[in-house]
Amino acid sequence: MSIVYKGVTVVQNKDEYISFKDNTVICSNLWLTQNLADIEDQFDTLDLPPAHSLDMDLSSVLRCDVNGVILLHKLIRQLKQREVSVKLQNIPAEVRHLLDITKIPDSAFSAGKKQNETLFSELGRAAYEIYTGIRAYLSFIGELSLTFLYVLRYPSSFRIKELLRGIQEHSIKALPIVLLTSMLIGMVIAYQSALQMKKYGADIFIVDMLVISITRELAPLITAIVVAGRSGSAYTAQIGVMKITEELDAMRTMGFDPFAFLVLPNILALMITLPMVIFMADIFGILGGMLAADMELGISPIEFVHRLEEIFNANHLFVGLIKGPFFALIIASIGCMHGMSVENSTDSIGTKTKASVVGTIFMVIICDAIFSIVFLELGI
Amino acid sequence: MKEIIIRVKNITTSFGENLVHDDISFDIHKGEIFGLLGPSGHGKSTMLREMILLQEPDRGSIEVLGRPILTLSEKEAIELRKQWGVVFQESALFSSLNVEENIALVLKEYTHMSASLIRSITATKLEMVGLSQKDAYKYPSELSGGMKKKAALARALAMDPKLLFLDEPTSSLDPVSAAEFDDLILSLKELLNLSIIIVTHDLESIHKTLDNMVVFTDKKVVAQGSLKEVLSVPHPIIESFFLQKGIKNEQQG
Repeated sequence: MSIVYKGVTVVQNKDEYISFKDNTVICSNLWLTQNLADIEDQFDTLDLPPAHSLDMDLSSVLRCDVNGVILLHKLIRQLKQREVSVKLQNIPAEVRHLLDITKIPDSAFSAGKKQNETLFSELGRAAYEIYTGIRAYLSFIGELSLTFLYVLRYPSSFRIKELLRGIQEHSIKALPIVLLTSMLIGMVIAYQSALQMKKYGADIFIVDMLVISITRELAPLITAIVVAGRSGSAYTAQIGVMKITEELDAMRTMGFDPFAFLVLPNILALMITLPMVIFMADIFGILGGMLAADMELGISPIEFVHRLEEIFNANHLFVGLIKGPFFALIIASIGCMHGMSVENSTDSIGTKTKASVVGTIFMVIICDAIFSIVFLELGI
Repeated sequence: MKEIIIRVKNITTSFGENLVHDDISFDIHKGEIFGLLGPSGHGKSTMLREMILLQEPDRGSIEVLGRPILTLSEKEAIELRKQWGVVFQESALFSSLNVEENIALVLKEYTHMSASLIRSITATKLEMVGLSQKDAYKYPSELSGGMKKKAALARALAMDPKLLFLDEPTSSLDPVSAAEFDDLILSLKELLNLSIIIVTHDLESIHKTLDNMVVFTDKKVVAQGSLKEVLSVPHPIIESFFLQKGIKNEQQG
């Protein structure tokens, strides 16, 4: 197929942009952005002889844009590197104009910045990140403690309203999901162990097992993990966005310390209420277990409660509840710290929120393990 | 008569109860820098968003580059989008990509050029808008407001569009950077033969850059044409928009 332009057949082949004939590279057709990939391919297939000089005929270039001219420069440069000197001929006015105005910096043809990551540099970077993360957390805790001391000294500066809002948002509103999860876990545990218990005729001991495992371990952990996922991310995203939109800076200029106004009330709110949430989770977990025991082992709720009364030891309950404030401190402080460390980009919110949730859940489990060891040593 | 590049005809737009445009019509010609002016909240940014397919008017028709954009198929819309560049008010650079990657994005998506050619193109565009090669590897959060605008402009120019939309390009810049940006727009228009549509209320750039303009007020176009023609329209908004602010500027200067 050919293209006829002003009565003259200028292009023999519609899809041909560059060809070679009589020691002349003939550029033709539309040298526009959308065709440049094809032009590159066609240039690579040209059978150029090992000559010292070539002519480049541009007379049949119908239209050209800046990107086209950049490619032209690049091809000429490639030829020069092969020690071929190129002479441009019959340059149309449009191409001439674009050649004049397009200034191409030398760096345009250098290779891109290399990402030279070795195992060592990656390891080093990761280690350094952990180091700076720990430092940032320590300085955050330091600032938090100072704010706390200040509030103790001047109690009237404490934001009671923010505290109540924190309780509402992060504890009361979390109740449905926490209690549902806890109840389901109680049921599952009871179901799974009922079969084993039956084998030994130890049916009634399911009560002991449920009460001890739920109050000591499961309810606190489940509560902490659900709240970490729910509120840890919320703290980070909320404070992070406030940082990006300069709301934190605005607060500072008005003399409101973000630690006193946002961070401390939220942390205290969660520390106060998380044990209560855990207590509710205890009840619902045992309730779930009771239902399953009734269905699977035929232990009626009355029998269940009788046995519960016999064996119940308040130590189990307190062991679980005492973890509450510590878990709360971990969740709220890590969440808020990541929010404060958000940098000025939307990307950073996503990264920090992820880091915050993963970090809190991990730290909660570590903390739980430490508690287990301590209680074991103390014989509680 | 020059070729018409955008034709807006009988556009009516409302947001719920709130009427923004009431039967607005105007033409934009090829090769001019055209301003959409008016006080804040009088529908000039909405008009721009309608031209670039981000919003639909209730009634009326808009032709861009000879195509009625309100009835385009998805495929035609993509073809059209490749032929224009847009610079947003807050630059809207992708913050997870560095400047070079921001510029290269459309080239990578829409063409199969070799990586080295894409590099040459991005480097040239950076040079064109007056950014240094060091800035290519910076992320948007590391750039100043003026540099972000320039990077966004380089991104808009990546595909060599003939049509450029700028939404309040100088509003968040200091006077020196704003003047520099105006000069850049003017020189690019000359060099690349661009048609440029600008939403602005910066008097400095209105005087310096615009060939023609429309002024939106109270859902209507109250004036259109060159600066001289617009200024000759007796309307309180024109007076307060151009003259009072102008006088103030002179006093300050």
